Formats: sequence, structure tokens, C-alpha cells
Amino acid sequence: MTVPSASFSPSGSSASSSSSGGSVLVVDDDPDIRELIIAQLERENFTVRAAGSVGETLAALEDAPADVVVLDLNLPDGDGLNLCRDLRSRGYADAIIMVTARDSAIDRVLGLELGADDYLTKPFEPRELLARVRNLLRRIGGSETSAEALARPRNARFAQIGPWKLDLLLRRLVTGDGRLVMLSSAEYRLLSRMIEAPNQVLGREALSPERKATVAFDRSIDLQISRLRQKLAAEPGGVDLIITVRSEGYVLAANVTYE
Amino acid sequence: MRRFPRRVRDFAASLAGRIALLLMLGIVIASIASLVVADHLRILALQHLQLERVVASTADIADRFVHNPQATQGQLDRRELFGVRNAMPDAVLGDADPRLADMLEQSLGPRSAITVRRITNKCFGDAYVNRNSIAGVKGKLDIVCWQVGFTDARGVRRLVTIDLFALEIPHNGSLDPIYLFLIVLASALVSLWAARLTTVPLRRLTGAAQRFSLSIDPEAIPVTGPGEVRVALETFNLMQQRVRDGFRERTHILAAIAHDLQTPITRLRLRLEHVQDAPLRERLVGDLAAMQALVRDGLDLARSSENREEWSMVDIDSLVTSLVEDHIEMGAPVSLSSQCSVSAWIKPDALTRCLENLISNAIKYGGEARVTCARREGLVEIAVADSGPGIPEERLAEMFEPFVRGETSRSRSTGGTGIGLTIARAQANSFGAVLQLANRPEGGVVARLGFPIHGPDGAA
Repeated sequence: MTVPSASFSPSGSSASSSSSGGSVLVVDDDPDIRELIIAQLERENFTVRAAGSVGETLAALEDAPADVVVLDLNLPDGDGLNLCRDLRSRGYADAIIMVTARDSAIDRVLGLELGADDYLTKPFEPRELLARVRNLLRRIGGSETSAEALARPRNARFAQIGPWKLDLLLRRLVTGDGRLVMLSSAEYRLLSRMIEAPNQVLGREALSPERKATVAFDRSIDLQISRLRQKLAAEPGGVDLIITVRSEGYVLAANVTYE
Repeated sequence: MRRFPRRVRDFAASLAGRIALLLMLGIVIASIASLVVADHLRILALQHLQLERVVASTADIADRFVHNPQATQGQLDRRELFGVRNAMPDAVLGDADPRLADMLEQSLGPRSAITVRRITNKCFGDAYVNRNSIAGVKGKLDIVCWQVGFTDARGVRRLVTIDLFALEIPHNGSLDPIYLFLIVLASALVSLWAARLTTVPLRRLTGAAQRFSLSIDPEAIPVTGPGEVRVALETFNLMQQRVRDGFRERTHILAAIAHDLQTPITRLRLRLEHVQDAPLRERLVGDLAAMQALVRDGLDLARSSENREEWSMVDIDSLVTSLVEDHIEMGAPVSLSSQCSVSAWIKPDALTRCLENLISNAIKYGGEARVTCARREGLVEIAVADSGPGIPEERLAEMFEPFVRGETSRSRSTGGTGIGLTIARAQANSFGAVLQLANRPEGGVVARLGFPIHGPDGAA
């Protein structure tokens, strides 16, 4: 695949499309799917453009940046994985969601390692795509102001927390000697939120923003934290990684590095 | 100790045991027989030596009679000759000895008309009264005598007694119990070693076949050993390769179909958003979801036979509790009642997929899933029990077949594709785990998943 030498500036231009929900570029070789996705997104007030090949994608991005690229992996003139890597190596900094019919862990690992921000498998629920696009717009929008999020490199696979490594891709803990300790979805959500703000007190609402604060909810967070704490304490040096701050919340008492 | 006789019986029933016993028996019999034969030959040789001395004495006296009959007779009468006397008058004669007669005839000539008989009563016992004067003789000294008659060259008939020291045949030490024991021991060792040598390749082949029965994708066996063994191993590897190729081809066809189905299903799903009639749309989305689940599960099943996931040391409790908590968070009736505090060398995603299918089956067909983890004789056993109606005992085994369900009809109400258990077993087999179904005495079905606790090097 040849990519015309072009440089992409980080869009930062979401202000120009602030009247809409954001700008999206849909890349898919199937014209029907392309149009259906466009119709779907336009109904939600996104500014949507479309491309059917690697060449069209590059041309469209040179023409005007997009906040989110919805990228199919099978393209007539190249591979979406290569396109993704090339975009990143050329400094394209906005969000990329990979969409593919391939459903294997290898593709997922590769896609995320090559710089995709999210991964969606065909066939998908239309609402799922909308949720992912919105999520990414929020994350990208937030990262410009949040210093901690910048500390996390885009293609980081592991976060080092005390004696533990958190596998950000397969969502599990790894000990120094390679033993795996699995996490429930809730535990992973909590831990991945905490590593974004280490050594800061996080309230229960901050830890789980998608839930309403109720007594029952507080109790379930406390229970999940205590289970997580138990798992972390299993390794020497893993005790007291999470500290309770009475009536305020929890602190991840460790520096987080990425690799 | 009571198990010892059974172990002996088992050993005797095994190929190695039979080869070893047969070899040992053969070696012992052959070596004892050859010792007995050697001993017999030794005795024969000594006897022959003695007879030759009889012949030599007779020839000597015959010679003397021919050259100087009077002097010789005088010497005999005066008992001046050693080993030859005049015929003993009170001799009791034994049977004729044709062998000795032949030997004498050969020595003295065909016309000597030999008669020779062993004297069986005591002969000249008193002749060597002063036996202490004979060097090297101690204790009993036996004399054996033969009465030999012959016609000498002058044609005179002579009858003499030939006496010799009795031949003391030394005791044969080679048949001592200690030697016999050593023979048996040595033959046992050689036999066991030989039996081992013959059965080692067989055991390697058995091991490989066993691994092959558990996973379609084991390593090829290294082709080493004697010629016949190498051929067998090569053939086995070839068979393994063929089976794997066949599987792979099937997988690729399935994967290609499933993959190509995903694009039209995606289109269909997106188009359904345009259906205005909401109840109709919901039903169509439901149908499509069922179709999609079938495609996904079919693809999973096809791929599970060639699971490429890496092995890892995994904290089993963390995996089981995480799964259970995820279900509880979604509001599913799942509980965990015991943990097993162990790490095992497994494929974590395969175990997760397997347990997920077992738990969702238990909920779908049995109303709830009760999960337990226990350690049993070097095995981890994770059990998923439900409290449903159970499965008729005779149909338990076929539940692992694709598209077989507990109910007679393919119930749409339960919403399963009917290959959940098939996938669960394939995932389990991919890391050497065994999955079994059983009815619980208190009602409902329990799925038990067992796998060994061992490290990457196979050590416990």
C-alpha cells in the first residue's frame, strides 16, 4: 500500500462542528453498509462523510480532519490495519474505531496495538456504534484538558501498579512471574478509572459515573473495592495499594507507568 | 501390602511382564541345562580317563608277558608290580563293560579275546596298609579293581586284576543354590531391561495417541528409536497430520461461510432500523439475533478445535469469582459457594468460554447456576449445578453432540443455539480438561470440569 506523504494535524477543530455532535468519517467498502451507517449517525446529528477505500480515506482526511474515523478492515486497495498504523505514524491523533467481520483476539490485539482506540465486531447493534462514537468523542475531548490521560500512551498494553501489571487489552492482572489473576468487569472498570488518577481521592460517583449514587450503589462499590483489594494483596507489596479515605472515597496509592 | 498380589498379576498381564517372565524363564532353563550338560560331560571325561588308565595298565602287563613271561609271572606272584595283580580268587564280578572291552581290544589287538568285568567286592583294601606313606592321601582311600582276561601275543590266556585308586569326582559347585540365585537374578535384570526396551516405544505411542484424543493439535512425536519404531511413529505423525488437515479444511469452510454471512447480517440489521412497525421490528431483530448467534457459535465451534491461545499460570479462584460476579452484576441467578485457592497451567480464555457456556446453560435450562471449586487428588474440579428438571440418564452422553437439547423440540423460548455444551467441551479439551455431565441426586444437572494442577514443566 502506498500512502501519499501528507501530514495530519490533530483536528482540534471540533469547535467548527460544535453545532453537530462531532465529525465522523465512515470507511467501508460495502456501499450499502456505508450508507446505512451514515443515515444512522446523521439522525444523531453527527457530521458524517464516507470513504470506500484507503485512497479515498487519505484524501478525505487531507481535505478536512474528522473527530472519529469508523474504519472497516477490509478495503479494496489495502488493509485497514496498515492504514491505521500509517495514520498514527503520520501524526493523526484523533479517534479511530475499527469495525470488522473478523472476530478473533489476534485482530483485536493487533488493531489496538496499531493505534485504534476501540474495536467493534460486525454485525453490531446500531446503538452500540453510536455509544462507542459518543464515548470516544468524550474521551478525546477530555484528554486535551486531562494531564493524566496524556500520560497513558495510545498503544500502551500494560500499566504497572506496584508489583502488578494491568493488561489493558485483555483486562486482567499479571504478576511479576507471569501468573494471571482475572478481574470482573466491575473490578476492571474501577481499576482502570483509578490508574487515570493515581494518588488522588476518588469519590464513588467519580469511580462509576454511569451509575446513580444510592445507598445500595455505594455498598456495591465498597464490596467491589474490597474484592479488588483482596486480589491485589495476594502479591508481596500489593497490600494497601487502595486506601480508603473515610467519607470521601478511595485512593490508588501507587505511581502508574505504562509499557 | 494387600495390593502387592494384584500388582504382580497386573505385571504378569502386561506385555512388558510377559516378555520379562518369558525371557527370564528361558534364560534360567537354558543356563541350568547347559550347566547340567557340562557337568555330565566332565564326569564322562574323568571316567574315560580312568578307563584309559585300565587300558594302559593292561597293555603294559600284556607287553611284559610277551617279552618276559616267567619274570613277569614271578613279579606278579611276589606282588612286585604296582596296579596289577594275579586274579583275585574270591572276586565277585559285576556286569561286563563293553566300552572298556572295546578300548582294550583296540589296544591289544583283535585276537586278544578280551573279557573285562568290574570287581564289586572289596579288593586289596589291605594292600596299602601303610597309607600314611603315600603323599597327599588322607582319610579314606578307595581302590577299584577290574578283572581282565586276554590272550597275549604268544597265545597264552592271562587273567589279571587291575587296581586303581578310586576316582573321586569333585563336587560340582556350579549348581549351588547361590549360583542358581545369581543366575535367576541376572536373568531377571536382563529380562526386565529387555522388556522395558521393547515397550518404551509402545508407551510413547500410547501417550501420543492419548494427547491426540484430547486435543487435535498436539506436537508431532520425535521420530527416534529402532527402525520398526521409527516407521510406526512416522506413520502415526502422518495420520495426525492428515486428521489435522481435514479438520482445518472444515474449519476454513465454516469460517469463510460465517465470515461472509456477517456482511449481509450487518446490512440487514442496519436496514431493520427503517422498519416503522415497532413490534414487527422487534421480532425481526430477535430473529436476526438468533441467526447471528448461530453463526457466531458455529464459528467458535469450528475454531475451538485449533485453539491457539497461549498457556498461562492462572489463579483459578480469580477467574471463577470474576465470572460469577459479572453474572451477578447482570442480575443472573448465579452463586459461588466454595473456592479452591490454586493456580493451574491452563488456557484462560478457553476456561472462561467453557464456564460461561456452562453457566448460561444452567440458567437457561435449570433456572440457576451454583458454582463450586474444589481440589481432588491433584485435580481442580469446577462444578456448575442447576436445579432444573434434569436429563434422562441415557441421554446424558449425547448432550455434547451439536444441536441436541434437553427438551425434545428446539425450544425457542430458551433461545440457545444447541451447541453451547459442544463448544464448552471443545474449549475444555483444548487445555486438557475433561467435562462431564451428571444428574444430581437432589435434582438438576451438574457439569463437572476437571483438569490437573501442574506447572509449565508438568510438575505438580
